[in-house]
Amino acid sequence: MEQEPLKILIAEDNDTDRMILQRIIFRLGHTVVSARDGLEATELYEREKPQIVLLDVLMPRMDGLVAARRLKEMAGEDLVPIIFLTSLSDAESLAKCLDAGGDDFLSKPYNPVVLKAKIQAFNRMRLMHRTLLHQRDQISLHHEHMLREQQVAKTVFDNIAHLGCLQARNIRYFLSPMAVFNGDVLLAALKPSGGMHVLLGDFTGHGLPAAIGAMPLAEIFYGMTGKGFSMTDVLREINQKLKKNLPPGFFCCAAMLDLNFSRRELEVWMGGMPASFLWRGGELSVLPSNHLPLGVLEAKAFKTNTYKFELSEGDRIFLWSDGIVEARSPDGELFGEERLRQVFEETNHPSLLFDEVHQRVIRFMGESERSDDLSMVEVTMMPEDALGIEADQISGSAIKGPESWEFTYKIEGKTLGEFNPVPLILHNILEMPPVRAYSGQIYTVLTELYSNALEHGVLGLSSAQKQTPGGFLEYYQERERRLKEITCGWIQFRIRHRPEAGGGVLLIRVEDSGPGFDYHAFARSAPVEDSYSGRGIPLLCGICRRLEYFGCGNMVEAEFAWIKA
Amino acid sequence: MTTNTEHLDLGALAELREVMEEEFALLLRTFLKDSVIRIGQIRETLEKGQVEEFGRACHSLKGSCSNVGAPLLADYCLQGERMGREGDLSQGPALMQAIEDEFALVRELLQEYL
Repeated sequence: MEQEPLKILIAEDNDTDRMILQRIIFRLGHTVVSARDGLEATELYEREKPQIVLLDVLMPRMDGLVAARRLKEMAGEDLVPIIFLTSLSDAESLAKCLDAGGDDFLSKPYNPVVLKAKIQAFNRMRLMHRTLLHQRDQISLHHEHMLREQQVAKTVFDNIAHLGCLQARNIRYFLSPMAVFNGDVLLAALKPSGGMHVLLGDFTGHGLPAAIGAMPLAEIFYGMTGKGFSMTDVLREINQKLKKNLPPGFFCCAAMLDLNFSRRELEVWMGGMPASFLWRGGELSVLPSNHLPLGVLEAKAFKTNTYKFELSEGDRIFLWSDGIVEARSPDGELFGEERLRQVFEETNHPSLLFDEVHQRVIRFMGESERSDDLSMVEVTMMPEDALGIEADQISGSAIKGPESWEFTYKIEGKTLGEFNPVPLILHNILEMPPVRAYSGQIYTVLTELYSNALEHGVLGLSSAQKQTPGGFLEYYQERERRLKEITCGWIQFRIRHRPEAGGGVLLIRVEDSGPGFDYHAFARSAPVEDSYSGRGIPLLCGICRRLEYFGCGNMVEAEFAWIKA
Repeated sequence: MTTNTEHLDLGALAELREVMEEEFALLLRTFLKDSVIRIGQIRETLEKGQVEEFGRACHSLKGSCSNVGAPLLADYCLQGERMGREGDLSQGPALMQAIEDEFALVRELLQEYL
């Protein structure tokens, strides 16, 4: 194989030997630069930048060993092979040469064949080294590039995900700032009715692929929760979006909560996450996942059955990603669910549980392990006014929207079991930007009237059943059953709006196909405080200017007045 | 380095001629001039009793002798190098004489190549 011409520096104080060496190298097709001693060699190296150096060991002014050290320093990162010229033969001297930075020897008498072979071999090595450095620099560049991309992705994600109520007083959590690149996502948002959705997600993979799925998930979560959609509707939509858009094998394990503060109810959906722990008045319930992660099943096959609980103030639920349960000790043991249970058994006061779990896992992992993929959240039931959060900022709008309008919307038959029309109706009403400040109250009115019409009117459930603790669960089970089997019946909304001085008035009429009830009798008896099992009439009277029943009691109209803020 | 009792290694010399081409004669003249100086240095160190320097000077001359192909002369230099290492110059004068005599012979033999 033809050798490319190199520039070779030789340093040899013996004239005879130097002449011979110069000749040999010249005949090999290379350029020669000659020095008579070590000092001249370093000067020439600086000027000429040769690829290979041949150094005599014993030279005046600066010997080969010192020169070799200097030359290696001057070469820096580059590999400039140094071959010592010597007729020293003892092992100790040869070892000293290598220690000084020499890469090989050439003994006298100079053999052209051997020298040619060594030059070739070291040139190969030199080129390989250069390739290595080049690739190292490329890797470094790519790495920086990747970090910059991650910064951008994180900024976008933080802008989407920062809307939310994670700072509410009933939520405690730890999540590393870069958690989204481990696939961990924690979202919390208030519903227009005042309740709260919380979602802890864990996407497959690491880096950007893991973070990318989090964006549509967050958009759907915040968008739909803000419009008043139910938790199961939100989950269904997220599942479909992920299933459609993520490649096969990518999915999101998730645990989601729906909290209702006024009724003190909790609904939990567990799909692929480690079991959550619910602490209620000293009792621990372990809630394992009973669903596949989001993004796996087709829409038809997606299941939304949830755990439902009535809670007391101070009761709390703990969600965590598998970073907790799968945390490893220095000798490879897993933390495991058993140890988690132990923490709950051994800790007396519920408010200490969160820190206790965190501390124990960190201690278990020891010094060496990173703790940046531990994600955990504690959500506590407390009165709504204790949450400590401002109402959501309403985005200001310059337009007034429609002022005088009305529409009628009726759903019937099987649709009653499959579709909740309240978010859609609310959405239409909120087309008037000034009204958005009241979306919570309007949502409450719509939901109460719709629930009454559906549960008491069409399904014929009795509100008395909800009074008892056991009856609560039975009521909802019965509700689910009857909804699945429904084939006839209808509910109709008629919504009208007229402007009024300084604002407007919204008339909401709801009519159902049920038998109605004796509202005259209700008006006479005292409203029952603290009980939600009635038709919520005291609540509605608190919000609306007027609430009136007609006919046999299957038609109701609520009048809601608002003034511009 | 194996001991060689030849005054001139003709094979090595032929190879050297092939390598040096038109500069062969110049090389031999350079060698002769160089060697005179180096032998002078060896003598000086011996007279001054500088053991290490004596050894080093012999080592230096040995190098070019082996390159040019004067095996016996190179061998004498190797012995001088050893004396320097062992710190014993008692045989020094005798070796000095041998080196000078051998060099005179080698110079004579190389004349036909100049």
